[in-house]
Parts: sequence; structure tokens; C-alpha cells
Amino acid sequence: MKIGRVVGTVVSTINVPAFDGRTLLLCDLLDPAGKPAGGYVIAVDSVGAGAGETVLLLDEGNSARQVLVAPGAPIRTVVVGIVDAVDEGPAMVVLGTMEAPLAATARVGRARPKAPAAARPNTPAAKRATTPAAARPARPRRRR
Amino acid sequence: MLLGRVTGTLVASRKEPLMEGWPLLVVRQLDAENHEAGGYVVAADTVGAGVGEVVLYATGSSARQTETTRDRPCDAVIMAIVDTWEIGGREVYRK
Amino acid sequence: MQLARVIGTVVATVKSPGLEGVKLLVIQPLDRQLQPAGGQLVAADAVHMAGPGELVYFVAAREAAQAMPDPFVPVDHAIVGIVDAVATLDGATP
Repeated sequence: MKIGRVVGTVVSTINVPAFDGRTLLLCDLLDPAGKPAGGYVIAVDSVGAGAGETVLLLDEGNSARQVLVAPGAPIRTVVVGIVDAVDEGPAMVVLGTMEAPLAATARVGRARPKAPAAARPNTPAAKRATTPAAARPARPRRRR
Repeated sequence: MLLGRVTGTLVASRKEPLMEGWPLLVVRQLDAENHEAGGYVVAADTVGAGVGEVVLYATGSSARQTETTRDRPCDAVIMAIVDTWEIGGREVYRK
Repeated sequence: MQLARVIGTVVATVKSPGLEGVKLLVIQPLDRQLQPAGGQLVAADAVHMAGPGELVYFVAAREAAQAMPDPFVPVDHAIVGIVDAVATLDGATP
């Protein structure tokens, strides 16, 4: 697993069916001290992580399909946990939530006749994932 | 399999339920000369390794092949604590 | 998965069995500021609707073949979605 920080979301309506209804999180990769390690990854959310949160990224296909209960899905990277702290050396690094205003920047590809509904930022999934975690009430525990 | 040194622990109280029950350790990769190779990974610990110990870890789908992690979500697992290794008759590391 | 821009198409008449009808596109992987990052790749189009100029995301390695109708094909990069929007904390710059 790797440590990452959720820095945004990717919204898509035309995709492989396995991605329907899933939240795609744009995550910067971090080193154990919580500093950017260079690079990023797009991961499917499984724990309800929000923008700014430090997360645990699992990068293995069989595990991803198991966590998401999605047999056969072309998915390899999943957010499987929210990191509270990394204790490395004398000082414990507590990785809280980075608070910063969210700037929504639409990068629309080739023009399409109709704007897809999910591209609008007021859909529940987009709103939840782009609201800084500190501004949200406690999440309900996911049940399976 | 890769050699690494356990340098820390990671706490994630909210996580995928199938991953509950094993410690998550920060492992810094080592090269064959016992120098840090630059990379790190957060690995599930199945052998009771402690901070500072040199370990063997496996990544990718192989990480799901230990008794503890079988058929559970895992992409990196510590499966041995290294006592010693040598290269060309020269002992590089001894615990 | 990573972001990429579709920059071209590849036509191949002779292909490995299972790849008939699969569209092949040249993509340029991007960093999250949407700037080119790394070398260009040929990816299979699993959404059937991607075209040159579009912003897409792709999956690499074994999981790429999982996106194809026949998952036992020699495909190691597949476009699995077309991006409508990227929203970031610091604001992605075009």
C-alpha cells in the first residue's frame, strides 16, 4: 500500500460500466513523512474519503475487485483506508486534513451535444467528494 | 521478494473491514548492500516484525499468498524477518 | 489509473486473435496539472467513444485486459473512461 492525499475528483459519464456510480479520487502520492513523493494516481473510493484527507492506497487488481465487490472490473487502485498517523522515528507524524478551498476546474474534452448530468458539481457524489472533510459531518460507517 | 527495513507504523482506524486484524508497517526498501534504495511501501505484517528490523516483503498479487492474507485485500506483505545475508561470501547484514 | 490526452489513432490489420474490432489510440499520459508526463503509449479504447483531443483516464497492466470484451487478450493499457471534469483542491491548470 502507499500513502496518498486526496486532492480532487475526476468526473466521467462515458466509461466502462464497472465505473458506473463509483467515485474517482485524484490522489497525490506521499512519503511516510506526509510530503509529496511525486506522482499521482486516480483511485476508486471505498471508504468515503474526502478532499484533503490522507488515505491508504491499495494497488492490486484482485484486491481491488474484492473490496469493491466488482468481479471482472478493470480496476487496480482503491482507497481502502483513512490514515490517522504515521509513527516513523522519534516524532509521530499526524496526518490530518489539509484545508484549502476547492477550486473546481472543468477540463471538458471534445464538445458533446449535451452536458452530462454527472459533470455538474451539485450531484451528491461530486459534492461529497469535493467538500473538504473537515467541513463535513461524521460519515456513516459503511455496511456490507 | 524485496529486502526492507521497518521504519515505522501506520494507523488507519477507518479502513476496509477485510483488512482489520493485521498491523500496517512502513517499510523502506533496501538494496543488496543494506542501503536505502529510495522507495517505501506500507505492508501488512504477518510475522510480528518490529521497528528497526530488516524484513523480506512481497508485493502485488503474491502478497495475497500468506496464510493471514489469503483471499484478503493486500498488495504488500512482510513474510520473513531476516537474520543474515551474504553476497559472494561476504556477510552484508547480521541481526 | 492516470490521466491522458488522446493524440492519435493506430490502424493494424493483422492483430492477435481477440483484438478484432478493438480500436487502438495513441495517448500522452498527463500529470495532474494536465501537462504531458512520460512517453506516449498505444492504448485499447474500452469505451468505444474516445477520439483524438479528448481527456481520458486509462488503466495499465493486467487490469487493462479486464476492460476488453474478451479479457484474455494481450492488452496492457486500456482507456476506461472519458473525463468530463477534474476538480482539485489547488485548481488544475489547463
